[in-house]
Amino acid sequence: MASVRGGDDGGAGAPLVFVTPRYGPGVVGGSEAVVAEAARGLAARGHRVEILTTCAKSHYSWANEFEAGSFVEHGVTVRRFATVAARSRVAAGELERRVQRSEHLSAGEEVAWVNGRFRVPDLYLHLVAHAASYRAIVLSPYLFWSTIYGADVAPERTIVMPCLHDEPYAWLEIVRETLSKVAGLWFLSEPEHQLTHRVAPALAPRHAVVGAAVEIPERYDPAGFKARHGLERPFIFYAGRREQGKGWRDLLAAYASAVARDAATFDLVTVGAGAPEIPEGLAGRVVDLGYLETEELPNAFAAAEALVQPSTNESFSRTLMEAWLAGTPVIANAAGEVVAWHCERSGGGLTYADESEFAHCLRFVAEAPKAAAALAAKGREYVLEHYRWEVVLDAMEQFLEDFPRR
Amino acid sequence: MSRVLVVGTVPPPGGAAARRLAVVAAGRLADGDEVTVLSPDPRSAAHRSGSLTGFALVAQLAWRSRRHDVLELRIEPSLPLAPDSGRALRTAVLLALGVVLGRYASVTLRLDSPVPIPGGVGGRATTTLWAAVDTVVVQREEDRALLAQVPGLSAEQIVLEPPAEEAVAAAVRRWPTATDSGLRSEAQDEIRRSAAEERSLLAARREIGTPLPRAGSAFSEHVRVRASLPGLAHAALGLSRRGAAGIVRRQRALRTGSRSR
Repeated sequence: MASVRGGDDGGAGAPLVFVTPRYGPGVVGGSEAVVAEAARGLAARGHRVEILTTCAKSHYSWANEFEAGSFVEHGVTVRRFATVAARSRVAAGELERRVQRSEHLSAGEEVAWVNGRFRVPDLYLHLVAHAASYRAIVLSPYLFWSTIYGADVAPERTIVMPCLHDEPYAWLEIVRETLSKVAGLWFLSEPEHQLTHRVAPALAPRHAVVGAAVEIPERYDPAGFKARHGLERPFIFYAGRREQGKGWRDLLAAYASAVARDAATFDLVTVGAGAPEIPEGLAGRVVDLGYLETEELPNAFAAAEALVQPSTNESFSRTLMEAWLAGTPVIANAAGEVVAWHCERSGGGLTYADESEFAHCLRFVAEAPKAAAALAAKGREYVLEHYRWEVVLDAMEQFLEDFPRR
Repeated sequence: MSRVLVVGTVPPPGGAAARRLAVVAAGRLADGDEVTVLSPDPRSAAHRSGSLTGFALVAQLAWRSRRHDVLELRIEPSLPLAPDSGRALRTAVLLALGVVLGRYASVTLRLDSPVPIPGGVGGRATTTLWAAVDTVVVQREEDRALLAQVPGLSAEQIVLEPPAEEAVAAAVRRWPTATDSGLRSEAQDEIRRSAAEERSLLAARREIGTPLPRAGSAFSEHVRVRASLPGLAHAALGLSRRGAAGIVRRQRALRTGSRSR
């Protein structure tokens, strides 16, 4: 196990450590991206920053795909630790189903559930050994072993960036305890802040909405993107995990309904992790490009006629911001508290409450392209005002100025 | 009075092209013709539906030529040929189609754009087809130019009818403009209003059940239901009254100018 630099006493010059379950090329996930970029941003401002993570790439298998060890990247020291699989996949699966059904779990069962996906004991032990030498330990997101166990090591110097959504996991007792016992909390949006108050009434007194940010691309190449991927027809775009937790199947259903209503003049192009399981009836209309390189993703946003965000489980929704930055309008699920909040606050996005409204959102984009572009322009202004890294890093630094209180 | 067979997808499915075909049929009906609509899509408000791809279409047209003297045939994806049809099938179907069209006194082909005939509009296989046609209605200038080069078709037979009703349909939905100050809320209101209207329509359609098979009834019932719903008096088939009237006028002018056989 690598050791931290000698002489650190957790003071102002001590390293700041981010703990995230996954990090590296091919990793798809909002909280993972925020952690990576925040760590690099703070490092670029002169902070000593480390990332503790696992060797896993996939959040389905949690298999060790990266090599354990440490290396320096973008000015950040990254330390990888091997995961240990669940003791019993059958038992873990049953607990997962019960959580999804919002059934009550005993305290022991909740602990078993946390241990059911992956464990990373070496990372825990590293924190135990070195916690005192860190200025602050930032854990994210809320529902994984690395956060729930990590919060136990040195709660007095721990900040949780929960990326909380209103989902069954959020209401587990073990989550409430975690959010209540740490010294600080960073939220990505105001609705997430409000939700966390409902989940954990005895919230850590030091908390703030620091937000998140996205990189502003220097240029976009929508025509090149279409040519490189053989996309000849206009399309709407979904970027993210293709799983029900993110509303993927609901999106397919809404899109199929729009096709049936002849409201879908656009194809649906998707990128991200997970098998898209495109129904036979939509073959040829739904195009899966799999995983896109980071440099290519902005071009996809720029090439799309609209971004669709069907997920109700968002604490920030980076893709909204990336689409708006690219001048692309957004169509989001009205049931998603955070995305609806962004759409309304910015005046730059449309929301749909059902398949019929989804179809009419598509019609709006097709039939009133200038108005749709004007909406996207409002979205871009909103992102530039609130979600640039300069703004977010300022908020994080301000929070850290007297953290932890001595 | 003519006995008109209208073949192609009509609403609710099919979008603007289907609405256009429905308006053609409605115009014929308003003129006192006896109209039968035959659609490949079972969801259509048509008198009959069934497979209309390949020889199934040829058989249907041959069978129905006994009771109809005028044919309005929309060429759309998979009607008459599926996009993946091979050369042999294309040749056989188009030749047979050309022969069977000769059984009608008047034939108008209405081509989607781009023209969905696999292998293109030219070639020996299409010669019989074009020879059996009185009028070909195209939507875009490119399509007209393409067809003008096809042997067996004269320039007078090719009529350009731009899809103006798409703009009309958009106007019916009253989208805000880019410069409106309350752009987002106005767009959102319009989306909700249109969706609510659509839900009412679908509920009404469920109440009256599926289109009736009796000649003329299903289509007129579809129009009646749409027109009777609040806020839809001017939007039967998704078109404004003025827009629909304009299309009907164009159809009448077209028919007046078509050759008799």
